[in-house]
Amino acid sequence: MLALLSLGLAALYGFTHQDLGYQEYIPQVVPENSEYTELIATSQGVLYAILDDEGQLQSYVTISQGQGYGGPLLVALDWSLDGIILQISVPVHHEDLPWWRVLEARHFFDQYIGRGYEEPIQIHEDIDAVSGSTVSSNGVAMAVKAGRLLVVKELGSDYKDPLPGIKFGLPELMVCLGIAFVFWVRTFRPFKNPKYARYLALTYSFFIVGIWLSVPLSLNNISSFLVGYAPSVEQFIIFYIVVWGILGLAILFGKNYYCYWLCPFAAVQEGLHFIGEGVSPSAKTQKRFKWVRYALLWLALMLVFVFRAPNVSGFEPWNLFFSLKGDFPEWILLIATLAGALLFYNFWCNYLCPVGASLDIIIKARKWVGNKWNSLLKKKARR
Amino acid sequence: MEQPVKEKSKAIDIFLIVMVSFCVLISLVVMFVKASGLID
Repeated sequence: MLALLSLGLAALYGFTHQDLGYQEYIPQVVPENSEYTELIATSQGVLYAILDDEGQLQSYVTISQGQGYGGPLLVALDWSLDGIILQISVPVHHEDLPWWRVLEARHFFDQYIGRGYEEPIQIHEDIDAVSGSTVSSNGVAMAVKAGRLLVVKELGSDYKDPLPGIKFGLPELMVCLGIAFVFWVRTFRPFKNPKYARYLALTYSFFIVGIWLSVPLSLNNISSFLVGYAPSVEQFIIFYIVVWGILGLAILFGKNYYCYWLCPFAAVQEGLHFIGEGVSPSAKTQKRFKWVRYALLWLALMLVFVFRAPNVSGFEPWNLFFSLKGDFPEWILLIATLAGALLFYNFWCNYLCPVGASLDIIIKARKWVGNKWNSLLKKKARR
Repeated sequence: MEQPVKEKSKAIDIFLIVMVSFCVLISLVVMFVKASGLID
């Protein structure tokens, strides 16, 4: 109860302390001390007119918002008077730095310079996404498009931004198949001994969800929905499938279809445990650490709500394992976790995983609500 | 014969405590490093 209350207060604090001042980012794209005046303000961004010393209109600056992997990001753009991008900067983002540095190193932002507002400015069309940082690339593209809409409005152009369709391809289908298989095996129990079906699901998940797509269910994904910063459904329906497929099934059927079955990191740990000489700690010690996962979950969510930045909760080692991009402490955590998994069965899952803790809470809450509902119905029937 | 088994299981428990505590500590460091990037 206290944990829920503190999370509610943290969410309230984060919501009321959002920094909404955009004008401080204008000097990121035009000379400092430039005179400016606000022309258009919408929920997606603001357009400023930049004036020269004589008060003549010199260019436009837009500061607009997109959704990255770690939450919202702001893109500042300097536009010429005929709507060509002269300068770009990203003054605010919550992306993990190792991923962000890849965008900078591959000159992702330079692709926008010189583009006119009538050009597609579309990822996979005239803008190349950086592989491995697709969500961040798309977040920037989304903000640029929001800025473009402001310029279009100001210039009185009849340009219409083409509506993006939902992208459902082979990756999305493969993830759906994995979830459907586990759902079938665990719900309808077609096998007397589902051991081999579980190994099959874990192997499938390791190669498809982990190695190929790198979309294991992360607390980052869940918390981005909690703070309202989910990536666009048109571009990243795969995240919706992973998050709502797994959480939705847990809510509907009261079962955890992910842990020990579809988690690619569980596959890694079980593989290591198979290789290593496993040892079993006493039941008393195992029980003693049951609360740790919940404590980590609570702390991560507190930080997410206070800073309104889902990426803070993405501390799980699989992010690094499947991407090989991370900071020094993340490498230490990954190595320690893998060493732990060599000795202790599913070391991360059993003692530290906040995603497993979230699913357990959902299932327990569902059970509690179900019991309450049943006892209410029984009471009514007795009357 | 029973004493070494008991000692071994105690050592395993202690090792688990150390491993979990270390991983919790590093998890906190990772979280706070990520959060510190958000403070102006």
